[in-house]
Amino acid sequence: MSLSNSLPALILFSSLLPGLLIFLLGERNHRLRTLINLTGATVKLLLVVIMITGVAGGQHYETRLTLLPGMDLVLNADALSVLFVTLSSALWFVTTIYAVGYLEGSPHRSRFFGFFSLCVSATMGIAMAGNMLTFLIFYELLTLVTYPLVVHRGTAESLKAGRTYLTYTMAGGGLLLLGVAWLRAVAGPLDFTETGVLSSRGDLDPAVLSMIFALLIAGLGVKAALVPFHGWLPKAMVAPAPVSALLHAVAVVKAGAFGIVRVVYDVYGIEFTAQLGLLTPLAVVAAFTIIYGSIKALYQDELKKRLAYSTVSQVSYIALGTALFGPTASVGGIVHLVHQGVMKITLFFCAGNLAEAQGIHHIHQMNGIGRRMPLTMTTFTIASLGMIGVPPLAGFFSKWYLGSGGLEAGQDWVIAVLIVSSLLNAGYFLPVLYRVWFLPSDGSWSKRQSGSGCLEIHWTLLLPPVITASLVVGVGLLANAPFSPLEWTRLIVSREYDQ
Amino acid sequence: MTLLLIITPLLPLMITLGLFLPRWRGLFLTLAPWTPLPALVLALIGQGAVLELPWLLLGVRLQLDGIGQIFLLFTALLWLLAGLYAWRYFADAAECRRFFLFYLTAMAGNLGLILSQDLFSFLSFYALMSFASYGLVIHRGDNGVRQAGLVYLILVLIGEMLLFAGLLLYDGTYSNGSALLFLLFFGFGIKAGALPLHVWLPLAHPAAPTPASAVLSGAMIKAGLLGWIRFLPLGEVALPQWGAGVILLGMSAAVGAAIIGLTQRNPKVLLAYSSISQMGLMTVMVGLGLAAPAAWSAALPLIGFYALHHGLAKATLFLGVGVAERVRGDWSRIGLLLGLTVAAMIIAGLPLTSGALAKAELKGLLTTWPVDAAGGVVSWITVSTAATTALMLRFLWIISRVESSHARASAVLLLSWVALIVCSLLAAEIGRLWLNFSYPVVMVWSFWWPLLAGAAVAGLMHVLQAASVTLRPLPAGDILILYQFLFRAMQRLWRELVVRIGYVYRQVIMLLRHLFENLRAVASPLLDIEAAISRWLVASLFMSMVLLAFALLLIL
Repeated sequence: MSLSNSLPALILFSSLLPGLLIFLLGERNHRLRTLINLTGATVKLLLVVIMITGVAGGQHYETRLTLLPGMDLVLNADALSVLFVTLSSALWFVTTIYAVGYLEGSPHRSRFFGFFSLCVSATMGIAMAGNMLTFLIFYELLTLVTYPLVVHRGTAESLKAGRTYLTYTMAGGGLLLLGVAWLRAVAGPLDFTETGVLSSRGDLDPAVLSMIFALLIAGLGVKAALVPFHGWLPKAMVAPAPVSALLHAVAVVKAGAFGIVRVVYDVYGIEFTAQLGLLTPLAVVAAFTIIYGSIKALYQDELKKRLAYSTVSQVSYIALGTALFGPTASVGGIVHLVHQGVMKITLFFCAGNLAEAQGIHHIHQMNGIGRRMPLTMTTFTIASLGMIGVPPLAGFFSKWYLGSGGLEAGQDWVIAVLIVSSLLNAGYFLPVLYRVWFLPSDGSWSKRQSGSGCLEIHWTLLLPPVITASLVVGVGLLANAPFSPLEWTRLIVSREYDQ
Repeated sequence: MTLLLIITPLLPLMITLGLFLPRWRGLFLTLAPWTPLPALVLALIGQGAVLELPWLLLGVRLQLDGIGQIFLLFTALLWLLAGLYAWRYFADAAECRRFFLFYLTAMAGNLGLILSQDLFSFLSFYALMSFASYGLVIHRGDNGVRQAGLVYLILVLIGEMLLFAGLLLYDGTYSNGSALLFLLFFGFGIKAGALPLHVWLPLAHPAAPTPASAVLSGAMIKAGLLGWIRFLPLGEVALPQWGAGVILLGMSAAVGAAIIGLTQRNPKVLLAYSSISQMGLMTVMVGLGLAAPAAWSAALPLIGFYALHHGLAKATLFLGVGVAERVRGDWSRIGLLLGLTVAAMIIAGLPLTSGALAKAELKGLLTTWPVDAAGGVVSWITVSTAATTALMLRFLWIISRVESSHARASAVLLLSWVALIVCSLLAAEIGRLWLNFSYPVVMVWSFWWPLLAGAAVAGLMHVLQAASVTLRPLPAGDILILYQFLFRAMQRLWRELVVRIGYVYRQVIMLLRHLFENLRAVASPLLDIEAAISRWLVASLFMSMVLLAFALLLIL
């Protein structure tokens, strides 16, 4: 087996195997467990680097396995999957470090880390899926392996949230299954292809295709938390911080958004979708979600709930960018996969640190916490300013490309949506920052130094947000440098539009 | 030279980081005031320096062009002298450190944006400066200051949004017409204190500690002016209506703000209004660039000179307020008033000052505007000169009543203030030698009457006050009240809306639940049947097993 047809499978197995091994290990064997976890994460990163260089050079990687005649399980690496694979594996690495620190000494860690690895494997499968069938399999797998993580604490509240999560995502999965099956029935097996596969098929009824599109988007929209399918996301907040971090930045929510991108670009093709007149409804739903999520976020006092509604809003930027016809908007939408990921994961790490070190869960308890936990709150500040879209941070470039893409597509209203959303972002983040840095503390923080030496918290909990916050600054500052997310997205988009 | 281009914005940021290191705090705090030195060197010797960094942001280009040189010169000078002043302004080292964290960050933004020649680095530095200044405005931390900070921050955000939209539309051709011009003018206008978005100045300037007010009013509001220069189609396209509109706004600010300022009692609020008024005159020049592109080549250096002259003199006045709180004893008080008088007269435009030079050039420039209204504008400038003179005299009167509240002023603080006075005096020479401006003829009535009229107004106010007829000062921020009223009305409307929507939402949910229960009622016979079936199934299974057992028994 040469590298060109085994690399996708290897990347999948580099987290799948550790996950399975961890289940076999005993609960108390935590050294070995951490070692296996980190080895897997490191190996995966190395493999991803090989893949990046290969794909940049035009190399083609594909693992194909025939399940039934005409039903192939395909894992391949195009520029778009490489973007998502890189994001997931990099953030999995930091989240693993974080989770090791966060869950130290708590029960059921073996179960947790096992499912954690499986969750990432499923995400990898989604990222590299080469056709709708493969995508569907991993998409459903993701739903199932995430459930134990959501209900990890086992409290009544988390079990209830878990039930909501399952109800929503299974229903969404059902819609998606229906769409995929129907599409297969009318069009046969379809591999994802840059510039789309359906555009060349003149024999298909546009009305049927439109209905299938609606089914697919609705099914994916549940995970991407498009209004009105967003209800599960704020409830799933009861999960431990590393799970929320991964859920919001990489795994579940992003899987939905990524799926929308796949369907529009690589199944229907952006130009064909535009011809069918399906882009505008999607854009309207996305825009509505952006505004609605931000408004709901304003009213939340629980920090993680506010962040969750913020995710509802921010992830729809990806859908919005996808729904605007034109390369610039596509760049804005796709690059936001990465930008939103690094920003939101930082915020959730910080929320976790606050809960872990000081037992803070609500915003009104955060007065003056900046003095007690300066580094954590600095990373929080960077990430929230990025969310608002302050240049030169990551979020600014997403918004800039979306806005200029809106103009390019002749949809000037997009700028208004972006401005209202940015103002609302400022409305729910700046008051938090004000409390953190400028109000005197009213509570008595625990004086206990949980970290060693002068650190405010154990280094495993501090390093991950510092890394991701540096990324928030870095991907913005070095936007034009080779292999920056923005530069890579331009490559993706040039391949999607080039016919 | 290219090294200086990088160091200029980077050094303040590096020192800021240094202030976080517990062990090195003292050292970096000592270094902090000196950070603008590379910028100053660059301003003096670095004309034409260029640096391209294509990998940074979306391609960064730093360059020191002609207008940038003037801006960098006074900006660096102000940050340097105000920094030295601030170094000895705070009694407490921790407070001083906190101040310098924001001071240096804002400085990095202000110095950087002058060098930026591309959109993205300009916007980034601009945002850095705007957000970092928030920390300067609310430094004192009491309730009034928070209110000022909130107004400041909201206007910064509105400005950022206007610029975001404006610069998206900006493609260098101005084909998008009026929307683009509107967004860019008011986006930068917020910073420059243009009417009617000037409301943050009279709140923020008195709220900030004195050295911060000096750079806010002297240097940072000029960033808005530079934004206009960089992004408006000045000297390229003739936009007579827009030009006339901008000139009108500028003139209203020049006269109106000076008059509102006259009613004020807080010296820093008064100075803030004077800044709005002076920025109005610079707005007039920008408007002229829009209306008559031919005039722009002459207007550009004049704007630079006006910004330089006003920045230095106004910062002197602001820092003087802090000095007045720190010196006692007759000789010191005389020295203080002498210094302030010099700066006030520069602003008012007495002979041999840079103010006289600048205003004479401005009036000369307006004659190149081929519209009848030009004459009217010239006479309004004269009125604004009179109002400014009265305003400055009023300021001197108020400041002479300020009681010293501190033990004594440090030598560094006083020296930096004196150095600033000297610099303000030298400004006229810069204009004469560098830009070839010439002093106006002073032996004519038209030169003197506005000054005398202003003096008369100030005298009249004094007399009235002595007779205990006092003008009630307009609240700082004047039309801010209007905005606040509108804001509250919208807030009420929004709450009402949320309540209504919530009501409808609950009704719908109840309806759905009702429907669902009905559905269940309809379905219940089905459920019964299913139960029956399963009963039958179990029963029949049992029966068949019994039968099977019998059969087995029989066979066996």
